[in-house]
Amino acid sequence: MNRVGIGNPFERELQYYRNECNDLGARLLRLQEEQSQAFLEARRSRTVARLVREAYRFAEPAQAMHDVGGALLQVVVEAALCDRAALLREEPPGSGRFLVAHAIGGTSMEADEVVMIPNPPAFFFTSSLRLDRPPEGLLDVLRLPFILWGYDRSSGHALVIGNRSEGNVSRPFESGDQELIETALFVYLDVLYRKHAEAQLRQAKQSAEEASVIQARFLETLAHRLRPTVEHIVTLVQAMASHPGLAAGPEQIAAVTQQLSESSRDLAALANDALDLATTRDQSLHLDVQWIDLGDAMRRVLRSCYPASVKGGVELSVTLPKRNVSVCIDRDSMHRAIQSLVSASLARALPGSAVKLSVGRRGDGAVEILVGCTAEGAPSPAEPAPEDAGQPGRPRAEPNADRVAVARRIVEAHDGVLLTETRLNGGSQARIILPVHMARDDAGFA
Amino acid sequence: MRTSPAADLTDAPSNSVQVAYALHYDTVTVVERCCALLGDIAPVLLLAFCGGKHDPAAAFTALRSAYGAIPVVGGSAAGAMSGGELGYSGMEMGIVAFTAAGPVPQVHVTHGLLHGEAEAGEALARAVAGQAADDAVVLLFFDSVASTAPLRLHYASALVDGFHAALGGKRVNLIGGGLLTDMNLSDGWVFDGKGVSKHSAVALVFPPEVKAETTVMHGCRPVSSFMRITRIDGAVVHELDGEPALAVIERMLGLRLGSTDGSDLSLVATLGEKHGDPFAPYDENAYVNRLILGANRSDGSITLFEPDFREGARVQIMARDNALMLDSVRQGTAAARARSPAAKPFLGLYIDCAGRASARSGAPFEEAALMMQDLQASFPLLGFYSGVEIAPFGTYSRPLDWTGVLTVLTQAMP
Repeated sequence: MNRVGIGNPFERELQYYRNECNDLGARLLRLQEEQSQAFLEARRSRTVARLVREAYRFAEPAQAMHDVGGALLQVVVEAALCDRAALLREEPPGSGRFLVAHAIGGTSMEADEVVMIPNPPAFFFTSSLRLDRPPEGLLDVLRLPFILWGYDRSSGHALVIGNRSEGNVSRPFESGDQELIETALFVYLDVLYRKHAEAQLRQAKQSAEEASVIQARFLETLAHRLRPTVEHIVTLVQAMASHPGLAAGPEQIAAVTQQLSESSRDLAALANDALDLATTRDQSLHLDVQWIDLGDAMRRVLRSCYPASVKGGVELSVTLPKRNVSVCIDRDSMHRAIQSLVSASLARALPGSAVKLSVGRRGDGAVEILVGCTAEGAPSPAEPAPEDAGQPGRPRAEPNADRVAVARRIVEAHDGVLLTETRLNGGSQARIILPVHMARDDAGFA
Repeated sequence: MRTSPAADLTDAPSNSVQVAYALHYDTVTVVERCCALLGDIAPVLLLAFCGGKHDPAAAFTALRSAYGAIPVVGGSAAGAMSGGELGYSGMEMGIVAFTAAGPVPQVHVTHGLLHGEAEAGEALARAVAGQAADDAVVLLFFDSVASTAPLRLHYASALVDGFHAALGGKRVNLIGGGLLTDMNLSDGWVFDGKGVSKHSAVALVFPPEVKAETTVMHGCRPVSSFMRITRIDGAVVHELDGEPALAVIERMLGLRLGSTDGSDLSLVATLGEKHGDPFAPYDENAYVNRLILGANRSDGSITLFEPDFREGARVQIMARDNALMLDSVRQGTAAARARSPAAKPFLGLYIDCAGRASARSGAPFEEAALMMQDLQASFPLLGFYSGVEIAPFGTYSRPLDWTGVLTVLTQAMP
């Protein structure tokens, strides 16, 4: 406080007003500061509501499942205005071995990085006001001193956000932030579960549609094969009816009998095929599962499909994840499944186009094998190819729908999902999703 | 975040300059989205402001991949805004694309800020002076953070003083801003035309037919009587009225500045120097305000954002006033709307102090959103959140704190 002079009364008055001015100014500033702080607190309390509102947009079917993690992390960073954030997946569950599924804010922190956190807590935060040491490994994820951590033991997923400092925009984390981090994590898990359910529904729908296509094609083939036999019978019956007194010569009878006999054998073979197909479809596949390096499996598919791609003038390539991934599969049957999908794509691909095979781990840990055709206007692999038209006398190729059906059956036997999709550019793709428990990261890099 | 109602701000009368804004966590994706918004154009120069969470090299490469080896200038930004949208999470990207169909600025660069901001400003001015016409519009951008431990800024006042001194009497209309990666003054970097660099400044010199109409929006009001700076060393104010500066300010305000160790930026109060008649009625445009970067409790000093206050200067403690800030934006945008119809605007640029963002200031809503909504610009408009703003003040340009600088670039009608 300024000292009040005791001499000149004008100076005293000036000093009085100066003091009042300063006092009023200080009060005004404090009021405004309190108002700002109240608004900032209100803003923080709205953060969770905003997070929930924004994050559930990702549950919409248009949002691809593999995008969910990054998109949700973006919402978290926007809402919390933190320096870095990461979604992690414990693999295998309960091991304390966490893979960074998605990360924002650090060039030194990359997806697929592995961090060991032997005793991950369900919730933890660090701040300058908290003296207890964080659990081992917890600060290694973001490499920042101030973090807010949430972990769901049952699913093995974790979310961590962090700041370099506690000043300016970044306020210290506190126990009340448990709601924020847990809400974000559980919204993410909820959206993942919804996407899983959505994928299963789509798969069921596609299976039903494929069954319907195969049934229709079988009936068409049956009609094609039945028609000549029936026509022979009708011809013979008409001849006998028109000329009842006409005695057929032994040559004529032998010729018609021969035709009838051949048609009957053809029909019998068709009936056997149908019975075999039905039997095969009812039988469960016998799988000899073992851990297979996914890179090796993909290269094997590439080798087997390479001649067809060269013949068709179609570029065939494979993209593998940076880290080696092994999957627990039956080597030969899964090879057949993927090969079927690639063959179906190659059959559709226009010369000069490309069929791409890509493999990756998704945020939820599932392995995704994508077979995509870049050709503009290429129909879905599930649609019949021109070569499939059952013209009599033409060698019968394995139809695309059958290829996809075979692949689906094998994938489903592995507890996986096969989805076929038509992309916006008219190209098509098939997506095999193998569940997280069938995949593991190996130490090396691809 | 999106303002409501969204204003159509990118419907330019001419497509010689286009702007785009996007937000995405992935660097390549955010660039691709901006390119998609820019449409089928062939830019010859890009002015890009990129959120600090993005990898600058990846952003530069993506821009070059999209448009070839054209100059890319600009740099990091604590946030960006355009088309009714804004964000400051560090994942934003804002781009101005200049095409050959309109005025294209010449680019000059210096990489010498670390060796002295004044010398770097002089070097830049010598290059600019040879090309710039009298009163040419010059945009100046530089990375604000010189070092982080301890925090030291590249002083805009030294840079601008050096720049003005070396112009050799030539007058230019200098407008610009300091670039940050975030609101915590963590870092900053520059797109220098050919790549990404630090400790650099880039100047864009426009051809003579381009003019700039600049409005400065403030938001601080004096809350103390005048005090004299009785001891100052660069940006460090040791004494006010003969007493330790920190003690004077805290005693007068009745509160503590910054955190316990006083090492972080305090936005509670600023120091303001009133120019012109000190006893004239309050006019926000008469003040140059300086944010308090930190306080040193051991010697009772405070450190300002810039070292341009002098011993003997009369200063006042200034309070941020969010209501005043919003009023200032309303008045400023009204003034920008009332510009001369004789000139055709082709680009609006809003250089906005990062501290004015709602998350930092505690304002009930975003003043930048208010600006975009009120302006209803019929020309491309892009803004970014800066560390310091450079704008005309009196007879020449100088750095300002806690301001929003709205510049509308116009081209003389044929």
